Amino acid sequence: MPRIIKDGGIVEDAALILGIEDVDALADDADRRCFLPLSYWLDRYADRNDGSEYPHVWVGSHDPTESLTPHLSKIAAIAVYFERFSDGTGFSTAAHLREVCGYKGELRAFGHILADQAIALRRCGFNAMALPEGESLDTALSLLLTAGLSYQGSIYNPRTPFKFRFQEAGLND
Amino acid sequence: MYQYDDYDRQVVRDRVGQFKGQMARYLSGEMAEELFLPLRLQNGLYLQKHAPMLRVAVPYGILSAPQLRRLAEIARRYDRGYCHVTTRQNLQFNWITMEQVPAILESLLEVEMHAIQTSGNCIRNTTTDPFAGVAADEVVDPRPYCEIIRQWSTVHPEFAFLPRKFKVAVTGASTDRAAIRVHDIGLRAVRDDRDHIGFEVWVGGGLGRTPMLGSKIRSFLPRSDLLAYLKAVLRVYNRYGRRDNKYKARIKILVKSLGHERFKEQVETEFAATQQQELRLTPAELQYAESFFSPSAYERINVQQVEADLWMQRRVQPLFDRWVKANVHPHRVPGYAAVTLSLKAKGQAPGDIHHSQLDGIAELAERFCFGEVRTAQQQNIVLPDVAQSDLLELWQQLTYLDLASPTQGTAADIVCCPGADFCNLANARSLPVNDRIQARFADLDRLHNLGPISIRIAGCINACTHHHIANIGILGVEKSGQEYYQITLGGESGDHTRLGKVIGPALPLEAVADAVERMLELYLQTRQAAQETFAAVVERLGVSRFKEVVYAANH
Ligand code: SF4
Repeated sequence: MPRIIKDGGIVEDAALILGIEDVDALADDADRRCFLPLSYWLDRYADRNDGSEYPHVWVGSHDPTESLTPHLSKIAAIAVYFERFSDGTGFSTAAHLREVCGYKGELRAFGHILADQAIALRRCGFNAMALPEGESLDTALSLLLTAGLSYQGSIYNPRTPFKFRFQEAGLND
Repeated sequence: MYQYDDYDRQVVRDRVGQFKGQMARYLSGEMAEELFLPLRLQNGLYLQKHAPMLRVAVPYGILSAPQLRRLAEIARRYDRGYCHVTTRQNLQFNWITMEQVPAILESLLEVEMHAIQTSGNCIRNTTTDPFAGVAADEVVDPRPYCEIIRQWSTVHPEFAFLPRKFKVAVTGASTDRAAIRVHDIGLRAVRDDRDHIGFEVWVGGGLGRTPMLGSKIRSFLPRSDLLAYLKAVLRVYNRYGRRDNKYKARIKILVKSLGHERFKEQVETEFAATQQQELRLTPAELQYAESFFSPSAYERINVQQVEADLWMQRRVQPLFDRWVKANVHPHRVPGYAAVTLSLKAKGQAPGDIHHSQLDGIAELAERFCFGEVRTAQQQNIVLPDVAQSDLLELWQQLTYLDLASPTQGTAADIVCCPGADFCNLANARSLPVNDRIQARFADLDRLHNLGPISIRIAGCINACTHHHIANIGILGVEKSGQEYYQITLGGESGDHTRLGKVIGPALPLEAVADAVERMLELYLQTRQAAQETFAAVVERLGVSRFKEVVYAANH
């Protein structure tokens, strides 16, 4: 089974992230968790209000993430797609979802990301990462576990660069 | 100047360690070239024409004597004996090998220096007025804020992979010597009527292919909100800036396409939603930042006596007099002065500095300037704190070091990039243009008679030297495999920042110095008084008169 990093550990995870082309065929696969493309999700679920569970959604870097804002409390997990590791839109998408929209569910990074980016991803609010082939989950995890000091803290523990020189709190975020 | 504490050392050490690992993986073939490329750029490592180049960060242009000595040692050991001062106050080593980079980074780390974020699509070194802290016209010392921004932007998790590079400049003086309107973000520190410090925020300036001046989106941002506001600007840019076309990816294009009002609105919305208490700079933190930049231990000086002596020294030594006129600047403390050390000696590439000069400057800084120097955007070095009574001796010493060209601010103080001789991106060489123009100004009387003129030469449209805002800008272009040079006229920097206009078809190398001469001749013939500067005459007569003299003679 595929493995991902989640909440500071490596776990098995069979969730499918569906492209718009195969969503119709697979979205109803009841056995597996699915992340649906944003446009599809909005079409199908934005107006639904029957109290049942909502599927997960994934967003690309050009997607209008704003359109999810009214529905965030209904969504247990959002995956953010990285087209290239050097396209950093997703870092701000995550930070915005956490900080401005107050999103509390799972935020998963997937696509073209590097193990070396694990710390930055977590600091921006991702609590889950699916690495592409060739990038080592173990490397990413060990980086997360040994993450050093940062001037900015994280989404969970934001600070000015000088704050921690006065307070002894949360140095390893 | 700012002193590292254990936290700073740890942040840099972690990053150097990470980069060394990435480099080892690249060299062993484990990491592909296209993955390594953006990573090495973020750590200041370029591949130039002849060799790798390492760009070292000089935070807002401040260097200590021990740092200068270490740079000299690196230049001797790993380079060909010299390094190069860039137009963003940084330093470059042009002749190193890839394998030496880890050792160089270790060596830099020992003197609290690094190459982090000197390239790549991230927040680059913050630049400022080379006279920060000592300028006679300073309203607020910008250095504490530069340091706060330096720390905040270093290895920022959210802003390491922006659509494009991002440059911040800060000034605190009434005259803008930091060119804030041609930066992605320009900050002008000001005081309101209750003497509270805050910032004018300018966004969306930049030169290059699409030159634009920044527009003001805040007239007074309280200084405690500085970081929360920067974060909001960067976040809007990171989310909505274009990534499909490298030439349309700078923030200026986003500001232009949204319109500055809408851009401002988005920033303000983001700011309002994210200005957490945690990001507010408290009075204690601001004080802490300021504590590193307290005034030097100036001596009480008998100003009248010193000025009388200086007057006499200048009378008997015309060369010294000339140097004082051109290279010595007013200081806010009576009896002191700031001094420009020229890196524009004839026959030298502008901004190049030899290891023996670096060592020499270190010694002079310790003797005459509290151990500190500055790099200037104009590719010179500044000694910010020299007692006027030491000027004569300093001048003599600088003469031995070939750093006393009395040409600061004149037509011979040319800002010039390495061009096609070194830079991979260049369309034409820029150094030979510099040499040819320089050669016309051997006569110092003539040079000084011309008064203040800025000439800037860029080897390609990336415009690293800001040729658009020079009185005379020279841009290398390529036409069917040949080097040509396009001339812009009427640009200005500082408070009246303005983009120059192209005067006509590009000229071949041989014709450029002549064209410059002719324009300067026209200026001399038409100025109404010696006080009327070249820039003023260009404005009065218009570009077309100058165009006529340049092209008339070519036919
Ligand atoms: S202006 Fe062009 S040629 Fe000159 S240094 Fe910049 S990129 Fe290279």
